[in-house]
Amino acid sequence: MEGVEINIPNTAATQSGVYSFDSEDHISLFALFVYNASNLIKRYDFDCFDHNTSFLHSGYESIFAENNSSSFVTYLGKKSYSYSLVHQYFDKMSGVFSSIKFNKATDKQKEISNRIDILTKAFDAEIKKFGFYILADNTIAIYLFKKIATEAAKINFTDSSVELTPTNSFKIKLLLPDNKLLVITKPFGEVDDLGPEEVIFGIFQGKRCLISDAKNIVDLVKGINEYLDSK
Amino acid sequence: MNTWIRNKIANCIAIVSYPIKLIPAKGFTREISIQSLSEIGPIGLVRRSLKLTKEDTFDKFGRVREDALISHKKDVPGLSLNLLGGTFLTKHICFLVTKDAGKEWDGLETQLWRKYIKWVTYQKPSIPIYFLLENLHNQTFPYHRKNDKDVAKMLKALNITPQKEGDDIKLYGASIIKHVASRLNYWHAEFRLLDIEARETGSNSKIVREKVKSYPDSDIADDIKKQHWITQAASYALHDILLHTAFDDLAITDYKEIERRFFLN
Repeated sequence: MEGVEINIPNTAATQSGVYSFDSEDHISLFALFVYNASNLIKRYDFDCFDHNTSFLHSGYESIFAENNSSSFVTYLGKKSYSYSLVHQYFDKMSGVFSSIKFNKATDKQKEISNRIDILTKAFDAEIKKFGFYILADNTIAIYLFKKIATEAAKINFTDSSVELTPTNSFKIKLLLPDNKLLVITKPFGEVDDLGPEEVIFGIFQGKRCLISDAKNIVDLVKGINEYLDSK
Repeated sequence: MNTWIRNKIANCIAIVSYPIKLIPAKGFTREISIQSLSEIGPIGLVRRSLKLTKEDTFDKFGRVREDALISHKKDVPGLSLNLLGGTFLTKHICFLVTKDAGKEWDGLETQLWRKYIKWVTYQKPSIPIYFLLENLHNQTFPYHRKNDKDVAKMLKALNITPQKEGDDIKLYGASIIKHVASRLNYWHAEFRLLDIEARETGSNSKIVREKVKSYPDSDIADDIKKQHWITQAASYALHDILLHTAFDDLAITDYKEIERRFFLN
């Protein structure tokens, strides 16, 4: 599909302007963000709302700005908002989303979407069995997984598995077409020395570790795809 | 069934079936030289999974799951293993040697079965996780430290020029396997982690269980926060060494027999 632009009006919770989304996944992610935000706020029943803060605008930036150093999770953790205002806005956003007409997805986008589904199903199965390992708020944990999985799904893997660990993190393991295994590890909580957009990764050939490091997930996926394309 | 009754039954099974040949005997050396052992060819090691099924122990790629190996990051330094190729066989992982029975054998104490068998229990099923010594012994892992005065002083004394990464410096620790015979299991060994100072000078390593924090804690004292690198080092050793070198199976032909000269005085 082509990129989609949504004109969002100026409200107490947003800055007016055109918000551009370049895929259906991004819109889903944004919707998920609003949904999660409203749930979080409902749970804690926050009653103070800073009218000067454009809530959704900041959320949008946190989600889509590749080099943004402040994470959405940190953002939510430090601010408090009126549930009713955000909820109202969520209702409004739902209306906006329902009016969007998408072009037919390309084969590549369908493949990415399928891969996101595969990873999400594996994550759901892990949550059912080992959900007690997660020490973070579940909503935030699901959001974080979805964010990393959406990027990881851009890699053309041939097989995959997802693992929750007792050290409060998750792993996405992707078998690459050349039989190397990419293991992406992301803690659910904040960890010193690891930026909010960074993941720990390792590439393995059999029992041999070829490389391991920490890297921004977007850069990692880009690098892996460049490597696979060059083969 | 009541837990107390279940534990009693498990202990009774252990008492009647514990293999005497695993117990340190007269004439055994207190410690096997792992370095010498590593030079004769592949040596096998085995550990009991924390999970009760193979499905929960290994993923679809045959890689060990983290939760089958450890419960906390602090479990990484000093992780227990058993040397294969002597009298320890895979089936012996069903015996859990705990408390006083699991303490280090001093090389002299005798009548060990009589004194300590009460601390052994039995668990079935027990799923084995295998390793090869060459993949665990003398392997390096990175960690980062703040480039402060203390670190600079240490590096100067060791004559090391570290790799700089922003405000931090990147150093390399090493993992070793140490044979630590326990009172009821001569073939017990530990996966230990050496920091750069311990590698260079033979001093005690700071990367030990007691100093590893499993989760970030904002309330901990500043001096402990400064030791964050210890937790980070354990984490790198887990990911770079332990998790990807584990096997779900190891044939008896894949590793060497440990000859008597290595463990007899």
